[in-house]
Amino acid sequence: MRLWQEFYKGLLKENPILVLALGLCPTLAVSTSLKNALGMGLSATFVLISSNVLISLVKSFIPSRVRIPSYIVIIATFVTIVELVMEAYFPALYKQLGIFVPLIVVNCIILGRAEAFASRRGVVESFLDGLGMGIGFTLTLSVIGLVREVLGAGKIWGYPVSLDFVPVLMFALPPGALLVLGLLLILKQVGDRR
Amino acid sequence: MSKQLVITSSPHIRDKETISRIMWWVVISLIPAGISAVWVFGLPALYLIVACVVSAVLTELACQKVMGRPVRIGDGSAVITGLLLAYNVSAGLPLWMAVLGSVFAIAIGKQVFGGLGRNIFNPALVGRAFLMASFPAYMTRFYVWKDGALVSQATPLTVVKMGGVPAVTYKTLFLGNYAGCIGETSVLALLIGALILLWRGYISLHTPLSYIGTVALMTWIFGGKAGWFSGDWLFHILSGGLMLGAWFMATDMVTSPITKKGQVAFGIGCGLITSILRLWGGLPEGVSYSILIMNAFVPYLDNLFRPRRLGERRRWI
Amino acid sequence: MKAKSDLFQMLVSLGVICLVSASILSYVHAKTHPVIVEQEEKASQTAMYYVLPGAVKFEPAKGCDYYIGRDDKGNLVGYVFKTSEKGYSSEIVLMVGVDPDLKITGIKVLSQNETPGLGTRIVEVKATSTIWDVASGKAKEEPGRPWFLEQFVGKDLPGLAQVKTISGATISSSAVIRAVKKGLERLQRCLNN
Repeated sequence: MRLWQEFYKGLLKENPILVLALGLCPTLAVSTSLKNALGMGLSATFVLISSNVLISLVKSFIPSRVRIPSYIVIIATFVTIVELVMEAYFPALYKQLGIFVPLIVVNCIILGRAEAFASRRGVVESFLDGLGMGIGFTLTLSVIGLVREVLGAGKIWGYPVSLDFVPVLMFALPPGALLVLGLLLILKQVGDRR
Repeated sequence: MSKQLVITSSPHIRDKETISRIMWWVVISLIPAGISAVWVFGLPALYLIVACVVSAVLTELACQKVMGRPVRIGDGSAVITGLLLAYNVSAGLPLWMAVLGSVFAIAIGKQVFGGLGRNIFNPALVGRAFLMASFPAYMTRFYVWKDGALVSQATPLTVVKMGGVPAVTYKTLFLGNYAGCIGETSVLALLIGALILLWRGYISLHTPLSYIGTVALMTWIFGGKAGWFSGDWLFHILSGGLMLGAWFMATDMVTSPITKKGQVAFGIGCGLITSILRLWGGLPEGVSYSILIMNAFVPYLDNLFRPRRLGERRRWI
Repeated sequence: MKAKSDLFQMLVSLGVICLVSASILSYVHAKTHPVIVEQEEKASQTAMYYVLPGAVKFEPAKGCDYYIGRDDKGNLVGYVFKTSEKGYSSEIVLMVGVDPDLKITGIKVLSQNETPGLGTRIVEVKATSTIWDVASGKAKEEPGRPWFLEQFVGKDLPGLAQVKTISGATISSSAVIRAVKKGLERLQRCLNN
């Protein structure tokens, strides 16, 4: 029961974007389309789960004074694996996400969970925490990506919604990302108060 | 009970002036430009003005209802925002885009910040910036009204940006019968409105004169092809949105500095940015962005030019 | 004594972590590197076939940076070159194919990072089927070619003046025209030598 909670708290109650406000840089930058958002979200989820599990495994061997550099090295390793695999097998997605794949290293969610959760909990809990947080991140990113793609480009998954739709370009630009994120935060707050 | 008792510290002056009275006078001062808009751009201009004003007022009503604030759509401030936004778009803009701009201007530009008096940026310009970012192709295609139809035409400033020589006389620029945003072309109509505002004492000359003066100076020094001090400054101050911006938007009571010195600094800043954007920027016109950028500096300017007590030093940061 | 062993422990644990991740990474790199190189080669090959239809073999020219395209009998079909120019927010890299008379046969954008919805209109393809068509399986396949780039086909160097820029994306589209012009001029110089 308690384990289950470690998973689903990341979906809404402690949603990394909407509640913890972590990882906003990739949120704003790559949420231009559903495809990009999903690609980014899943890559980050993979890194998050792997680093959470590994860090909770080796936490007792790492002296506390060098834990941050150690975590960064571990995270960077996983990110580089993701980057290389993506470049080799998903070149189109890799081209789209560009610089933001290597920047997963400094995604606050991952280091944040490593430091706040995985460094003091068991392997199973850390796995579930990473999974929940990752899915929460991916879902939020995808919602923003979907809204921005529909409004800003008139498309869903790259296909036009209607052939004579005039897109509201601002939603494809950074201010649109801030606006959609802001509206989503309002929705979350209104939902919480009900 | 608490709503009827307004407690403020002394001194107290009793005056008939109210916010809504000021706002409705500003609306009246904007009417000449509206008449000129319909004269130059025909019925499409009238439809745009009506659509913007109605949607601005309705958005204000909806926001105040949803946010649980007192409904004050009668104060005329939403009408002004709607009018100014309509004056800031091309006659060929589809009505639904204008409505969207109006909704954005009021909801995001004004009510989200807390309503009248609390907005940082001029709401009409926020709406215009939104439209520029969202529908650039529609916002930068300009028209004139000829024989009952809109005919596409480049604005004089666009012609200059493309390296050409605009075929307009100073008289045309003054009267306003040329392509541009619907409310900005007629300098005559705008000046009549400005005189009304000056007569009522709602604006002072500080901001407009320092703004227009800076643009004149900058374009005279740097704007000519034949070297320095050869620019056509008269052309630059008569064309584009400068007159509309300088008299009606840079003087907005909410989003401009309080002190006279602050207003002069505000005007000079607007003038510098406008000239830089016009002469070296990617777009032909820069009035709206320059006022928006300077809006962001208003709290700083207010603090910088706060009246000092004897012996107090000015603090720059 | 305590401090010293602390330091030693830190160095060892960091060293071990770095060593392990370095070896994992070099393994992954060794596995993916050939695939990545192959992908790049394939992308570049596909682009060459795309811009110079009819050619099957491409050989790099000597001394100059372009490729000579030949058909299966070894006849000259045309030339292919890369060119680039600074657009609005990124370097726009193009692959251009020309026939022996230096008339453009095709253009492909290899990489660009222009403003979505504005500058990216240089690679915009006129859509023919909506998401609803795709979902219901009625979609007509075969994605079209970017309409802006199709303007170039059949034009030579002086003909570039007739290419219309995209309103609202003037900077990006004129950067493409400048890039093609620059590349064509360079190719001409190379061929004359």
